Amino acid sequence: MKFYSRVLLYFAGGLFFVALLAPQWPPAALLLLPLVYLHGEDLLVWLYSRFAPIEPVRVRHPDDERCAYDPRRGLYHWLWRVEPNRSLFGVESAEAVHEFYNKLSLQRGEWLTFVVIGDEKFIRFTSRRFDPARVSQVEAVLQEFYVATREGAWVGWGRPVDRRVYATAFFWLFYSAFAGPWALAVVLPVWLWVVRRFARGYLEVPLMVRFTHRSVAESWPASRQVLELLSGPDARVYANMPRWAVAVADRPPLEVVKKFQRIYEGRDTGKRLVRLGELAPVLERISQHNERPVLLYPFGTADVHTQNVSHDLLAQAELWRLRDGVKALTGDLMRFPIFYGGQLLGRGRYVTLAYDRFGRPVAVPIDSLPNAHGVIIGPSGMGKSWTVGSWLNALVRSGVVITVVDPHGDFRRWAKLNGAVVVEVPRQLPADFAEVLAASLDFQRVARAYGFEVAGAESARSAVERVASLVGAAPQYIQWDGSSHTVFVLRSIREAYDVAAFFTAALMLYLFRKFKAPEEEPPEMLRRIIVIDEARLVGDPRNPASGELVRALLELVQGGRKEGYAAWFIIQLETQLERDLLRSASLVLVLGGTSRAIRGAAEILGLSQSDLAYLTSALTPYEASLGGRPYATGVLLLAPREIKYQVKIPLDPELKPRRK
Amino acid sequence: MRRGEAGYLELRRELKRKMEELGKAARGVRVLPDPKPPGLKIGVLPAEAWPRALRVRPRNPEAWDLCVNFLGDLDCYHKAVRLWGNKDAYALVLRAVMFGADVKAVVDALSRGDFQKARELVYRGRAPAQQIDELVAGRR
Repeated sequence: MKFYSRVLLYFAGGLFFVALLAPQWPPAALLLLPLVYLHGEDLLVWLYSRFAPIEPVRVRHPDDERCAYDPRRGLYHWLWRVEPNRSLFGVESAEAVHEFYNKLSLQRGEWLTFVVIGDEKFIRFTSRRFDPARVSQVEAVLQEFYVATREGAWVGWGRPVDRRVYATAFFWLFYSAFAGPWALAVVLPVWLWVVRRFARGYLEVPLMVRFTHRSVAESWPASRQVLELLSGPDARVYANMPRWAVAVADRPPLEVVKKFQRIYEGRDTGKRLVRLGELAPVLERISQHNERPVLLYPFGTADVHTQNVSHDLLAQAELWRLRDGVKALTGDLMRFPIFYGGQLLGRGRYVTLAYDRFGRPVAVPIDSLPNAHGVIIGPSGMGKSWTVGSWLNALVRSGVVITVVDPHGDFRRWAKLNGAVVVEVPRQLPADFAEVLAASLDFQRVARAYGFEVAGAESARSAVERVASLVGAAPQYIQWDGSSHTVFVLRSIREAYDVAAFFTAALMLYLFRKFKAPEEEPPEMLRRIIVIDEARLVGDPRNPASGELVRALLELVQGGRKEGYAAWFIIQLETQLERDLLRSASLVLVLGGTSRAIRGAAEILGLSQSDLAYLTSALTPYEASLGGRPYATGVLLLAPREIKYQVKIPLDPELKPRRK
Repeated sequence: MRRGEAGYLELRRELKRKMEELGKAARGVRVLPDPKPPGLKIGVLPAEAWPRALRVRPRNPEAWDLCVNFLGDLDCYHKAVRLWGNKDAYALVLRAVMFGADVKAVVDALSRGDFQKARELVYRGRAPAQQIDELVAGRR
């Protein structure tokens, strides 16, 4: 039976018994004393929680500023801010949950609570003992699964409980009409003492940290099939809540064993067989899936029907009292997204690039990514250029200078909206194009692959002009210092494959060389993003310089962050870019499409089945725009950890011409 | 006696003269204002009570609950709603509530843009290094 139901039952039974006995034999009223002393506070907490959420007052521990001590329950609480270092959801998290729980090896009188408030995730470790060694042990385990930062003592803040709670004393006046004046004389002083203790020991808490729902179930259905079926949907419901928490405590398996033995050793009756059948799913999970019995304490701000989580303001008190858990097994932790949604905690600017499937913004610390390059993979028509254009809008607002190498002219509209300079290559080239390229050893090698010997600015210039002349263009040199947003459009030469490949390569090497930061001044911030649309031109084996180019690119992008720029490559298939570039990119976006188009990328990037299912169900941006705002669907991966989001990226309608 | 009844004007004139003598009305005023009807008092509801009286809901219930229901300070609400969209500021207000700091002072400091002061209040002068890293580097 649940704890608070038991308390209510004790009180009802005790009052009834004394009301019957005390009129005949007044000393029977003394029986109420232990009841009021032991459970008076529990009853008051239950009663008060009908009207307002309360929690017990905590104080800072004198020996540890970061430990909150709850004198009411004798519990010590430590708090960490955490971000999962992997991104697992639903049944995918089974292995991690199992490993995490077993490594923690919670003892009796220890609880671990995962708390989510808005964007922030916390883990609270609660113990009956003040044992710093154990806390460091727990912290070490947390560090394996989360990026954990120790926070201050969660002592709470609020206002004192309403003094009208003293009015409950009038109940005893009413009760004495049945049980006699002796009962009043005996119970009233103790009751007033209990109420005073309650009034001093509890606080009403503000909405910001309030949990309003909890599970009223005694245990959850145990079958593994049901668990696997429900873990995803349940986790989804929690991920949608603004605040939720789940506490877990170990439950000795002895209880299950005893129950089993009692049934097994009885006579071979039909009833026994039925009860064995009831226990079978539990035993199966314990024996076959190596799960352990636990007590779970789910709290939230919305109903979860499959877990009997419903509105009950007692949730707030229970979050701190931890008296009323649900009997479950470790696998049931999969029903909570405790390993979902790791953010990168960086310094510098955050830019919201997408929204996850629960509509929460995914902000990326652009100054703190481990290396500079990103890859956007997506089949034709799924909105690659549109997505990048929309991202670039956000980046422009953050003060990043954008340079785009655009073979198809997709970014002309973007350039118009953002006031960017459009340079038509090869008819227009920057004035220092040849000088900068001549200083690049990489360009010398690339030019050699095309049959040019480059030894200085003049020879570089003549090589460039010679290639341009193949498409009948004579370069006109313009002043360009790279301080403004620029789009280099190669649309006029897209038919001449080799010329386009040459100029794409030359432009890349020119840009990387030109924006190299001075040695003595390594920049702290990302100042520029160079976007290479249709980057397949770089790694294509038909390109005579592809080997040289890829090698040069690998060198350049690995050190790009230190130079203050980032390079983003847009490709259609994973085969169009060197695998090392793909694997080491710190930001990868895979846009939806057919499974045959994305399976290769999924394999290299380690996407799961659910990611594939999500990607293959993606709408095209045009289809999405029929329902209102256009968006692109994809999976966003961020380095250095396994951070992965299934996202929707709102697209800027201004970037596309109207369809007729 | 009501306006328009016989003797009303004479009575008001007499009243005006007496009040001028007593110094309770300025000399040269043409007429005295009518007395207020008995039983009706003019009062102004405190601004905190307006939403309930007008039966409207605050746009930001979290900030309203914190500032008005708990602190009884509407000015704090005005400051808080401006802070709510700022991730760093919200994180500090949340921590102020969690760690039992002076919430009103933290909201004040944040609304002045004084993040350092707010951090000191929240963490009692000792903010974790990572927090400082996150908050200092221009994410405001």
